[in-house]
Amino acid sequence: MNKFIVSSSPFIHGKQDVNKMFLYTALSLVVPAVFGITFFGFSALFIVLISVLACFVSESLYNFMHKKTFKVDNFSFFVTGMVLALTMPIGTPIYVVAISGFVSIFIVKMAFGGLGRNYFNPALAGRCLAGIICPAIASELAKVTIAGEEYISIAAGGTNTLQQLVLGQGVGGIGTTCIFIILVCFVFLSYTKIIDYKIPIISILSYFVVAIILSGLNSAMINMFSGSFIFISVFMLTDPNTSPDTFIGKFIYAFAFGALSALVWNMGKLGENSLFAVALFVNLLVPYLDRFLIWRPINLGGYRNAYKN
Amino acid sequence: MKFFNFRGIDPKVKKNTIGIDITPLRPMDFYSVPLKLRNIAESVPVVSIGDEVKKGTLIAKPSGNFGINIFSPISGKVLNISDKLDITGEFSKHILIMNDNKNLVENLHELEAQNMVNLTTRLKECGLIDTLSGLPTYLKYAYTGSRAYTSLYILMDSTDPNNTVNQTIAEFKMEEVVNGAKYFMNITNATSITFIYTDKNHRLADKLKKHIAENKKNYDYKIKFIPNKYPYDNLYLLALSVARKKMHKKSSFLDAGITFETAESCYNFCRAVEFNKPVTSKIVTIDGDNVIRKGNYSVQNGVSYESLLDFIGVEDKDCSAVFIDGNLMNGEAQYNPEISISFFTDTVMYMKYEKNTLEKEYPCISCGKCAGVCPVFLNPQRIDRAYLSEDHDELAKLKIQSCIECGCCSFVCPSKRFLKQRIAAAKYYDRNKVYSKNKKKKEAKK
Repeated sequence: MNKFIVSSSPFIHGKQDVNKMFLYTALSLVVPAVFGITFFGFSALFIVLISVLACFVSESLYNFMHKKTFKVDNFSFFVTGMVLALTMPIGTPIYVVAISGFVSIFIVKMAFGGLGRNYFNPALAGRCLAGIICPAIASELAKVTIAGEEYISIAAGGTNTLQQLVLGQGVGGIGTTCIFIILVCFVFLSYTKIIDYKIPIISILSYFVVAIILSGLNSAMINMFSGSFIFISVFMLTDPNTSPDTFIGKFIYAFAFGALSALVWNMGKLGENSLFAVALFVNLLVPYLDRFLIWRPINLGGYRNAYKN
Repeated sequence: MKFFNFRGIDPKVKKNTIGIDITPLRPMDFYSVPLKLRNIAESVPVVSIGDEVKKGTLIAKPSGNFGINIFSPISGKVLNISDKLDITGEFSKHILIMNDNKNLVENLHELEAQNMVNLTTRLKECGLIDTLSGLPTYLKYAYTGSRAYTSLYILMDSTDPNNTVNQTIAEFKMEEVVNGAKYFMNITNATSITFIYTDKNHRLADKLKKHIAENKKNYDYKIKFIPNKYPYDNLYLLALSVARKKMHKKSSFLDAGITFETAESCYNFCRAVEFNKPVTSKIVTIDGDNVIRKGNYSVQNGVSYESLLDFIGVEDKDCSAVFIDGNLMNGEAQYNPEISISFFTDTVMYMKYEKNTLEKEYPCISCGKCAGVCPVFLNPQRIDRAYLSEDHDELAKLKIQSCIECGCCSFVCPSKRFLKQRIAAAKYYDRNKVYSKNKKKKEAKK
């Protein structure tokens, strides 16, 4: 006779797996990284490696200090390191990359309780820190010389056409320049249901609407494609942990990011670094949105009335 | 909008038993008939040890207001009346009957006329159980004076994975189902019958239309379709989706004048009215990758799991296996093969055990997929977090008692967290806490 094994229902589970989600995100991040390395040269690869290494070291250090077992089975540190590195321009000092990688994992993620407990997207917070401790990044973002050819960003008065910007012939972070590749990654990630496709679409649309009102159609298009706006809305805003649960919450979250970044980009002269600060601010809204914009449950539990005197 | 905004899931499990006619089970040697069925009160035996009974003889009658009549499934001799382990894990009275192979049959008395009073008494006599609400069917129609039912819905399909009982009856026993629905309509004040099918089964609905057009005259009926999503078999959600206008601001579908019956109840009631047969068997879907002869079987009351497995055939006799009473989403895994099948068993699954089904959970990444799928609009990830941090005020705020324990959240969770189990535990805790609080208040008043 067979041995009966007892377990609790449900006996079947969906196909989605948290480790696969991180693995696919990491794979999709490799594509813009490869493009950045071929376009910007060998120093880009160095930044990516240092960033990922800093994230790995800080996570294992935290686990060693607090006597926890280190699980590499999900690639969350790899994803954080990659996203952080891809937003940095070449010419960023190595110590800045290492410090921001360390802080983003050790303080922003692990000190709040590890995966799923952080209030900010770790890579976003790390990138903001890098912008503060090294103001030279802003000038790196404005102007760069690659193989004798000089590239000037739109914010600093460059005259790139739309086609050049979409194909990545511009200045910016390592992985943020080629809009075409980022959009391909977006389609892949939303097809596999790893990210919610609504957030990037709403944020891009709201940016567009506000920017057209402020500065006209042509300049709105060029402004949007020249910065790291699309990279942030595809890879950073859609972090499942730091995005709201309900559709209304997601709408407010994405709309706030799009509209605010259009305002900051057009009204102030703060440059690309300010976009990360805006995204960090929008992350702060999420606990509030999650707490108050919830669905009202259908009341099926009548026990409170039953036991009332 | 066509449907009530129903969420739920589609588990995409292949139903292997569609289109297989109902097969009667071969007579067993021993039947141990349970006298307590889940929430229904334990019946009192009216036979004693050593009595000869026929198939259909009354062997137990209700002790209070909430019991049912139980009939002998076979002709034979009563061997023993004793306490035995139940499907719920508790001890309750069972009557052990030995088959004497004489095949003697005893029927209920003939009905003089098929009027409302006679039909209501027949419903009470025949021992029919409503598997949807978990109560004896006659109780629903006992208060027709104060609660007038104005609409009758017949569920001809199931959204549960693997369960094809109603579907099979609706396909092969169409005449009985249509007649039984008519008898149910005569008990209520309903003016027409609505048959409910899922989106997938337009084929069966067309068949029913054809059948009624050919054989029946003056038969008022409607057909409604619901999305093929689990857990649509929950009565309240079904009522919300099918009759949303009537349910507006009503706390219960009984107040809204809605009543539901399954195709199986109609079939059994029709047999009780036309052929005077009491209910002694249950139609069960048997499925799973360790079963050789999958199909729908008419299983007599009191057959044990062990003898059922002998009949249907086991593919691999040595591997460790999972035996589930119920479907894959909300069934109960059994460990004792001697427990007997009761009227509440819809599906029996017998599967080879796979190690990776539920081994390890990963940290929650708050993706919100569980909240997007919950049919009663709860937020399981927050409940999970509140339960682990023992924040009991938060648990009460999140209205955990609304949870119907369907398991959709556990199904979709990419981190494979034990959400359903935790919410069930939290519900239990919350209920006890409120109960003890009120008890203390009462004592203080005294």
